[in-house]
Amino acid sequence: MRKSKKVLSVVMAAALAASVAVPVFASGDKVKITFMSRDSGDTPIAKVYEDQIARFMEENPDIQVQNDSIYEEAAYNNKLKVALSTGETPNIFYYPAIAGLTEWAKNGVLLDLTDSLNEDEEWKNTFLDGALDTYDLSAYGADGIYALPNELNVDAVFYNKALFEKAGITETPETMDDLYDAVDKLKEAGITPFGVGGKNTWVMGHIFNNILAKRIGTEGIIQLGTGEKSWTDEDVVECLQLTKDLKEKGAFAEGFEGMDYNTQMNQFLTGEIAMISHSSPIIPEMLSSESEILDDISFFPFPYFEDKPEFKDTHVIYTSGWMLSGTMSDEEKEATLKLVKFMTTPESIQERMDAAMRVAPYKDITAPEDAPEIFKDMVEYTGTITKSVGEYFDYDTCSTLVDTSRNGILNMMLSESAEDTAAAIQADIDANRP
Amino acid sequence: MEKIRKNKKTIILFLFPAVILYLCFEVIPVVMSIYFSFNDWPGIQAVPLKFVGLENYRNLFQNAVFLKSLQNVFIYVIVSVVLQVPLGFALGLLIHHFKKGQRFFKAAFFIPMILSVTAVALLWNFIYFPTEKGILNSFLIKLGLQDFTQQWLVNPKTSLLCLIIVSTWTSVGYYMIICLAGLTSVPESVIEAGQLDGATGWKKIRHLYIPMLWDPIKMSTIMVITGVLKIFDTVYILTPTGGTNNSTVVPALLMYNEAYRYGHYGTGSAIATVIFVLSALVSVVSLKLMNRRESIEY
Repeated sequence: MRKSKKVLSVVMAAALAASVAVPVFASGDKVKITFMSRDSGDTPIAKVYEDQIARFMEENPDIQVQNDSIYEEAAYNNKLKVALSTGETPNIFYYPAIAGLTEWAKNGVLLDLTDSLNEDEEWKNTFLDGALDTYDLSAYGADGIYALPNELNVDAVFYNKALFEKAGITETPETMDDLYDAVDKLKEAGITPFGVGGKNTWVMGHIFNNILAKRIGTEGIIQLGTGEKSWTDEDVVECLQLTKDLKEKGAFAEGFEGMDYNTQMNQFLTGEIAMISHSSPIIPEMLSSESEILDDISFFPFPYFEDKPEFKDTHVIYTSGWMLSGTMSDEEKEATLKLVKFMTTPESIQERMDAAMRVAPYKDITAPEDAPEIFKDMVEYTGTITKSVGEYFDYDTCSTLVDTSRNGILNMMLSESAEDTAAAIQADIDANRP
Repeated sequence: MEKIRKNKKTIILFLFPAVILYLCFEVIPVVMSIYFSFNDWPGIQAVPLKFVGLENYRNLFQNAVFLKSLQNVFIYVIVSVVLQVPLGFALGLLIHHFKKGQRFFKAAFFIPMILSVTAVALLWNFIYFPTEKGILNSFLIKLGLQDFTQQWLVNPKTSLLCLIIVSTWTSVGYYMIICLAGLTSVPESVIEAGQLDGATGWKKIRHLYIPMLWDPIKMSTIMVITGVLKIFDTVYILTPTGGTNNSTVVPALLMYNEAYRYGHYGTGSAIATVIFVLSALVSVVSLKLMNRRESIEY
């Protein structure tokens, strides 16, 4: 009995050791690379990525790609931050920042893609003109291009045509005065003009960012990020005040500060509210809902201010990109670039657009014939944009700015003055900007 | 068996796996966290730690938001102790007294404890919904109390209390179970003797049950204190930004933001260390205060 126990324990120990050892031997001579995006689960885009990775591995049997994508934002950020702190940077990953990448770029976490792009002109030319400049961090002290733009989130005001008609609005607002008129007419008709889930502070932040873009333009926003302008400057305070004024004009539902984004979307998709400020990825999300008002939904560009015609054509576009690890071996780097190039061929990009209706920063990409009209319109509208700008905090190296400013804007909507809000945001920047 | 117990090598051998786990997942992270708190580090492996001494702590205690978070968490602790332990033990005593439906009520009061915090927070989100569609607001309107309707989680005067109510609702069943477990060790004969001596109603609770349940009460109080000092999930889900004008911000929320959102690992570790020291201090002080009673022997 005792002997058989000994034998059993030896067998179990050997099995345990073997189970640990098998993956090591199984990987053989394959180069293993990791891909980490926010697209996972059953979403159409996640399925396309999985298919593309599988096809890539079939074509490149010597490369093994591990897809570590996580949809949930906090979980994704936590995993990425832990990976960076332990030196296990994923080979390809996504992070929503531009200036915020500078510290990573300076410390070798990110690969400078300038040489790789220059060595392959054909590949470089697949990106829209100027798209690669988004991730040129020279202005922040890190010379080079540190990410590849992958998607464009184009901001617009989505509206319910039926509710506009009911309120007697015959044309979509082109200027802010038109928008104020529309707000008045909608209120008179008993319709809540704008849906805002204030609890998710980015919603109000987006509206403020559009006002900022239309009043101080791309240059002004970049200067705000680099410190050449201050939040307490008169024109920035004015933008905060204009944002607050929208509440005073009754543009938002009562209690919007405590509502969440899901409530806002639910209200819009059930025809309770007339407008939401959002960006292009909301189109597939809305179309996949069972809303009965989908045919009534359309969009118009965020209105401009008549006294600032120079910024009429400045539109907000949030670019998301792929970053490549700067700590790869030569073998890994070669395999990673191969995968990135595979995923940025016109066919791969078109495939993603067709399946998931994502607007991409690449040339010669068109909306599929059978795509819904609203998406075709969005692709067409994107093609007309000549001046764009991202989020104001994209251009600032202060990591706390996103929270401080958005929380500050929400507090301003509740009680604070625009001047105090601007002063508090600037104080945070002064304390935390590297 | 006695022989094995006296063999120190055997004892050490059996303790070894548990000690290793405890060291790896408790002691070493705490020590590392304290060490990190004296350094500045952006969370990048290639960047060496920069020793900054007490600067992280100095900055923390000059930071108005951190001071506000300490104020909030102390309010949270005090109100939670006052609510959770007495309510839990009151429920325990009630269930112990009324035998009918005992199993049902035990399960009903304990269920919030086993629900995920996210589910609980979402449930309360509907209750606190800021418009007249919110369960609480619509209830008040039906009672003709529309003047009392609020944006419960937005109004700085109500938001912290709302969170404390959620925590209390979730935890009270746990302390009820501790009370019931404690009651099993209370001899019926003592209670009967007390009753014969005239201890009924509140007197029975005051002079019989509370002294005899003092150890579970002490333990529950320490659990409430240490649990609330590190509270994060309920606050993060219901008021992710820390509330209007930081009305619900707590140290653990700041710690998460500093370390994981802003890459300030030194500051995040300093906050973690402050939470650790506070938990230890408050627990020791509470135990000292509660140890003044003489233990009951029967």
